[in-house]
Amino acid sequence: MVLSLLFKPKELITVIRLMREAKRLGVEIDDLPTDVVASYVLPKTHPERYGLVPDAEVTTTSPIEDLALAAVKDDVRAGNWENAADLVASTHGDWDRRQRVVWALADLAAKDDNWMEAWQAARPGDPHWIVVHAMSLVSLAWDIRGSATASQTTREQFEGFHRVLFEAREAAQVAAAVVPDDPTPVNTMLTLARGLQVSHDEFREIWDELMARDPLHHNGHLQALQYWCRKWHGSDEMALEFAAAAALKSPKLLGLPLQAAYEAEGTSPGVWGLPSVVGALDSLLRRLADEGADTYALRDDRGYAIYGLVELQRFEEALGQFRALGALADAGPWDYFAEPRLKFLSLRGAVVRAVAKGKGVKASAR
Amino acid sequence: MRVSVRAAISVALLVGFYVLAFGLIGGLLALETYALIERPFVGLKLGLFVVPVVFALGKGLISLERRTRDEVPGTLVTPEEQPALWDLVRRLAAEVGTRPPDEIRILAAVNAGVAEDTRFLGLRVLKRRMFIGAPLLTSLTEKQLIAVLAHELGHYASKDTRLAGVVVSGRDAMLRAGAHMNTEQWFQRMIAKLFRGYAKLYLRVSQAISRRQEFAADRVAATLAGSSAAASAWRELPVIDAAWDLFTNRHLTVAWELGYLPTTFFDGFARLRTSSELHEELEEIRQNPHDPDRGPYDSHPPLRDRIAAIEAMALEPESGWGDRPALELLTDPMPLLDAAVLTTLVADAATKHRVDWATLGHIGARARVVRGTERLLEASAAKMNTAPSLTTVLDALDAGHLADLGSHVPGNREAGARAHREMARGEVLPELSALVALAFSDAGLARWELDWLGRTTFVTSSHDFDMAEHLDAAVADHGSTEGLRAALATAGVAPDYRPAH
Repeated sequence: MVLSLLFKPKELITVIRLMREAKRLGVEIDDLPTDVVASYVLPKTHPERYGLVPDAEVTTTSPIEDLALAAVKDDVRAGNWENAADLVASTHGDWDRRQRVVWALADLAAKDDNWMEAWQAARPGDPHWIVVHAMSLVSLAWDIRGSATASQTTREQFEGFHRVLFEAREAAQVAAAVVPDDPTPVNTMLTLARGLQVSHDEFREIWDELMARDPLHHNGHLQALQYWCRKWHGSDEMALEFAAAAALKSPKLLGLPLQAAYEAEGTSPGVWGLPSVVGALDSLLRRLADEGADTYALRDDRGYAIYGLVELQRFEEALGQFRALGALADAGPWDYFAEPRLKFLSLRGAVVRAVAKGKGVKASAR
Repeated sequence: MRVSVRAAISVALLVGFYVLAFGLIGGLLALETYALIERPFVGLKLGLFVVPVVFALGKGLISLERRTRDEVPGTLVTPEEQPALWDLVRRLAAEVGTRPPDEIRILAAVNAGVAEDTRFLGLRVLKRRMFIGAPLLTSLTEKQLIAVLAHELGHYASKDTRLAGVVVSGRDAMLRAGAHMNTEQWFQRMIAKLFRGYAKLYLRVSQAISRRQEFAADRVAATLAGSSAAASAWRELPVIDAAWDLFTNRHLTVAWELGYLPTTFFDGFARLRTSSELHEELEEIRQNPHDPDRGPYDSHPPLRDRIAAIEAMALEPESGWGDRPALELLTDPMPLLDAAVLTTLVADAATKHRVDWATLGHIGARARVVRGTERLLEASAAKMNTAPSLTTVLDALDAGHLADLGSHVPGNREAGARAHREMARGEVLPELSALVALAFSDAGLARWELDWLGRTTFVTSSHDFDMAEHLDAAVADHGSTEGLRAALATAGVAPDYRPAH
């Protein structure tokens, strides 16, 4: 990264300025506050002239989307599990929401499981408990492993990761047997299939189980897309093919080909120009025209759409999506980056600049 | 290029080496003398440069000549002690047409060779020695051994060009060039570099000669022992090498640091070579022979090529060679071979306790296990603020300190208490399991066995040594050590048990 800077004089100057600023503030360059870095790095534009919120208002904090979930999370943090247990039970049948509720509670349980123990003690055999428990083991496994590269991960972390993932799979199998119509534990198996390096055939079996329960399971499709990605157990082609097939099933899955293209762009140049990708993008834009940005899923779709539009030099449309996103930089692809807000702002700045210069203004044939 | 031309160049390079070194020394001294006479002040300053350089050059030259001061490895065998072996070697030397060695020495290595004490980079020979690896004597047939020894003698056969023999000795000397230099010092480092550069040039020029000599020596071996014996010997060498490696690393020295050696050596090696556990692995090596790593300047052609060439010759053996095990050439072989191993091991080998193989394996495995329990004992003692013992560990677990007994951290920096506890469980369980196994072993209820592959198994005579459930319960959340404590008490393990070193 340092070496590559030598070939980019502009960025090199910025880095030197940042170093000077860090010295002035008496901190390491990596510890500089984001706002300070932003003021040096970001393009100087006037977002408000284009109907965008000012840079300073952009945030990575998601607004509360599910009031009931937010309330039980607070309860759980205070050690009260009853409302959480009831909420999980009440989501039976609304599978996408159930997935979100179970995952959010599982993340909390991976940090501290005292409330889970209390729940289990008070309601032994509660089928919803084991659904959350299984997913919490997946979260726990990833907490143990961390997100560093394999070479930066210790043997003990890998061992713990695999040990807990095996426990998670067992728990998920029990949960799937206890709540046979619930896709959530099946999706847990799908999620941990990557970590356990499950074979293609075995993965397809789990996938069929999920499809039998909910053919349009949103998170399930995202998990499967990751599995078929080159960086896990598939290839660019497999991921793109899977995503294209999913997009044909339902408008709510139109974002998948864009995510697949995003994952593949490093190794498959020109992927953004593929007819299947451009087609999905155009369909997605039509669908988004009637919608806002008040769910994470919508913001995720808009984020990936922006990425594709910029790659295709359709800056004015990208600007429109930024307008729709408003101040929220909480979803993909920004959340892939260590500094999601900076990534959001720098791309937005680039789009504003391009539009100011009159680039990419004429919209594609629509 | 023809061999004779290359050989001539090689010898010229050898001589040139001395010319270069002495020329440099002479020139520098002449310059210095001139300067001292004409401009004494400049001369003194120049001396600061010239003296260390001349010193370093001199040291470098000495390093080429000095190897013979080192102790010669191996155990010397006289013709009186081993008449059959000496007869064979003399007969082979006569067949090959070279002079027999002055000494035969038995080595603890999978190797054989003839080496000469030389002066002036091999231009003058003082003494010829034959080295024979003890593992070869126990593993080859007589014919195969003949092939190996004939090959080594073949390097000195005068049928090849006379100069080529010098080239071989020269290579050995050149590889030592600069070996005695002190690389901490700048001047010496520079001179060592110069010497090595020259040596590399020499090694390159002589490489082709050496390769051709290997093939020529192989031909000598095949002529005397027959193609099939020679080829089978070449196939067997990597097999013996792998077995010997395993033997020395995993068995012979398994309890070395604790002060133990086996009572006898080669009975163990023989058992290892014929053990059923290793059969498949060794057969695999035999079918796909790989070359051992002999360093970057080795002159041997690939083993496969050599075997193919030997087989292509399809030579019948000269009559009169036996097909019995090579070991039968020796009178009372075992003490001799064991002695050869003992002299190869470092000096304090003689002070080690000698125990039988089973005891040795147990002692070695137990020591490894003991080391693996120290961390847990110390961590528990620190947490409970008392002396380290098995009971201290169990008390710490009962007190709910599992998470504090671990030392590894989860990968996610924001991981919670649960992840820390889970990592500790993964670390503590095998350590506790080892500690309990030691307690049972020290109570005389179990022991470790080492198989010839080097794997250890825990063997117990008691029928109910299935502690898995008790161990799991001891480290489980809200678990209990009760079952484990009861089992230990039944086995008669003292509460303050702590494994002794």
